[in-house]
Amino acid sequence: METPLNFEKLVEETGPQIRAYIAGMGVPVDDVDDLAQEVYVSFYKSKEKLPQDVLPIRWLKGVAKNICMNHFRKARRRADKHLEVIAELLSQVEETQEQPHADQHSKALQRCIQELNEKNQKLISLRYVEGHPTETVAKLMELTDAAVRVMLFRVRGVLRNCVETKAQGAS
Amino acid sequence: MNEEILAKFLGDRESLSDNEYIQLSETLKNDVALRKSLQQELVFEEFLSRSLSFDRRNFGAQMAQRLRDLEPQPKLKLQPREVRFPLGQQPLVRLRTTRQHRRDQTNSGVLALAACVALLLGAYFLLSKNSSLSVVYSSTVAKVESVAGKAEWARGEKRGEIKVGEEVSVDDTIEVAENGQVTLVYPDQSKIELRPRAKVAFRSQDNAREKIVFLKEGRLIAQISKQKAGAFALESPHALVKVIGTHFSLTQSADETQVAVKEGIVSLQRISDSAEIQVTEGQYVSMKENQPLESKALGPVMKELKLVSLGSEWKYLDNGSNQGTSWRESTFNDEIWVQGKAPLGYGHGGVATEVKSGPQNKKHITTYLRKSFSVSEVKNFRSIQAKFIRDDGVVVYVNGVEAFRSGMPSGEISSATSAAPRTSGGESTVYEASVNAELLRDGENILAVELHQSRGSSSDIFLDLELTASIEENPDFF
Repeated sequence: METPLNFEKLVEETGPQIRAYIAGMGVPVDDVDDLAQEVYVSFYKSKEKLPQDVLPIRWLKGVAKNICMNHFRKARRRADKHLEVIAELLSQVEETQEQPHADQHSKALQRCIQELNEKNQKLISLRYVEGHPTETVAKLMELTDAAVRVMLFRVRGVLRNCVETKAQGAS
Repeated sequence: MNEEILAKFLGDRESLSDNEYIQLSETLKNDVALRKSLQQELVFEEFLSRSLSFDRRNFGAQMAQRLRDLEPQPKLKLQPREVRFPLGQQPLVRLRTTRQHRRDQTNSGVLALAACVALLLGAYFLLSKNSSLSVVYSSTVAKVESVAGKAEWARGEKRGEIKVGEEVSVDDTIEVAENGQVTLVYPDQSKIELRPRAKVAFRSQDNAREKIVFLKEGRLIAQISKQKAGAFALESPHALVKVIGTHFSLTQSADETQVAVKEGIVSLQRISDSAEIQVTEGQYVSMKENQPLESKALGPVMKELKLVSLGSEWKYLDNGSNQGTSWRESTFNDEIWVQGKAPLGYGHGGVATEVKSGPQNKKHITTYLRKSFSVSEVKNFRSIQAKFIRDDGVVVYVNGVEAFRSGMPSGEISSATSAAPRTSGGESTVYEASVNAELLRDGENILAVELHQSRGSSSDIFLDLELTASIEENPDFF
């Protein structure tokens, strides 16, 4: 932690976990990277205070939780007061052992997407590659918002199972 | 738990009603398994977004920049990140946040690269000695004054059609449709017209008073009221533009940024290498990577248009017959003629289509060739140039009228007229000739060539030809 280079390495190694941790508290995907950056900035500013016997990832997650809770408290959107409650509940969940960030998961994801039917591939592409909000996806696919949300929910489930199976097979 | 509520929570948090949120919270409080399942869903969604979305793949680079921003000030000064006033004013450091930086990276690979480089670069401001108006700064940066056709705004996950009177805020983006146009007015009466297919993002510095308009693609026309120093900045993926009180256009295509100035002066800086140029009234600059920055006068420019290329397909007749003069006309029916790719000839290296030569020592004197080509806006053609390799002689007609001859005697030419004896040039010499642009017409045109042998015992003939028009164009910047 003495040099910026080491710190950058820490970001590289822990970034996916911290971003997943923040998302796991219910932070909308669009805000995840911004909050993750705040986590590292906060950590960087107080890095001298890091106790020697604490793993940086543990410390980072602690910082992340505080920043996420503050984010919901400060935000003015109607949903945020509810999200604060949900974030608190989700933060109590025992941590998932392994976050899907390894190369094998990414490769598995690409293969799993190829296995989806054309409609579901389009759905995933519009939502996650092009980053359209649900209502735009609904317009482009000539579906209702609710139908798109439920379809996405189910396709994600299919993809998640597929990725886990393929990644386990690969490892 | 209702699947739809979970789907709404995962798909769009804003779509859940208060009651649904309460229902979800209560269920989560009592159902540990659901909490875990929901968390896994959320984590997987983030993984999907991180793996598939282009603009989320540069987290490491963005974070590295944030860290550099946190380094002590003297180190910062070593980096060319300051905005300086050429008239001896104090520098204003532009510390861009990575949040802004990430938004720069949403459009393309080029955009992503340029935005990273942009963090290391600055731009020079111009100062107006008479500037006196202050600017109102708030999260609202402008109002929509007029809308023609269709245009959409995007604010976070929300999107909507733009309407007159709406406010455009920092962090909004606007996309104008093919047939649309949007005019925005700022509190100081500065105006920005977004032309069809324009995509722009609006930003302001966290604690500075700059208004930044980021043109991702398309064109905008800016009429900027006199500003206090540093008040108005425009950016494209390749350039930084600083203005104070001026009227100009900014056009962004995939690999080019153009700035044309009607009034005032605009300072333009290329992001990749910091090359800088001031564009003055009545001038424009087309900026591309690795090309010199040069301002040119607004007005007509000459461009070249290839009408017939070397190696084109031609119709030809190689039976040694006498075709008289009708074959030159555009109305002549050449359907039964054979088609072949140039160069055409025989006994000559590099021939793509071999034509018949005729009997030994009594070779065909004339081979006929025709080529049709289409043009439009002939009125803008200022000159036409032919470049050709011929062996031995040619007479060239455009729409039935002789355009030029080369290697042929003067006077009447028949199918029995031999080419003139060669006095200069070799078999591979490239000849040039001017063609009267008035011989062309809008639509289909016919280029007819008679290729003459110099003598019956000659071993070869050869022809390839290109035709290029010089066109006067008035670039449309406004």
